[in-house]
Amino acid sequence: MYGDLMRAPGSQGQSLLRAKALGADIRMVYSTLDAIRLAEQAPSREVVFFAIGFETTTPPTAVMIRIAEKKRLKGLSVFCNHVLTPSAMHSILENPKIRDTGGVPINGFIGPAHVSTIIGTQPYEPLAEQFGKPIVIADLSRSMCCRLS
Amino acid sequence: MCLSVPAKIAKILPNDMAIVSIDGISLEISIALVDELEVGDCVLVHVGYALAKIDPVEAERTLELLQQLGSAGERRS
Repeated sequence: MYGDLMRAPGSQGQSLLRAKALGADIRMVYSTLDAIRLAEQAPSREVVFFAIGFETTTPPTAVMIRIAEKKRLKGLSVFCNHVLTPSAMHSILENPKIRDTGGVPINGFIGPAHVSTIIGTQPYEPLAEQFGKPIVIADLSRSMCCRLS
Repeated sequence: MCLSVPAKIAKILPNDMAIVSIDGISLEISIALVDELEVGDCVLVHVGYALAKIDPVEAERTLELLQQLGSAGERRS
């Protein structure tokens, strides 16, 4: 699993960091290729990659599965928790607290740039149209910069 | 996990791997997700993978900003 998940709070005040301290075999990896190496080094064990993240971490998980298949690694599996940015934004805007009461005023969104290196800008267009919120994506090459409203 | 950094391809290796240089540090990454990369190209590196080929001028500017952030942190501490 990726390191930033170690401290994420879980149920009953637990975290993976605490579970590790209690003896669970949890390894931090920088890349999905490290999970391949772990599975190769311990063929008798079941290695579960805790896959999490938005569109930028999903392709690396897919590459890992392809490599594992090619290498016929039997002991590697994926606990898939990948999510999509536009869906998350949709959920925020559909939340009654935001939609009806104006409890949290949202004027617009700054889209994550590296996500758009994968999905481009088109997946945001229905959101901008439906909710009338402008979305800008920063720090991309000029050809991909756009403003939707 | 959410940070991507620009890097320059220093060497292409077999099996869709490459050595990149990030601010003087060499790192082995996968280039399986980007087609037709050559030595000298700049890429965006995220969790050990090249995600996209980027403009070298943009890459240089981002690296400069990261360095400024680093030195601002040093001044504060």
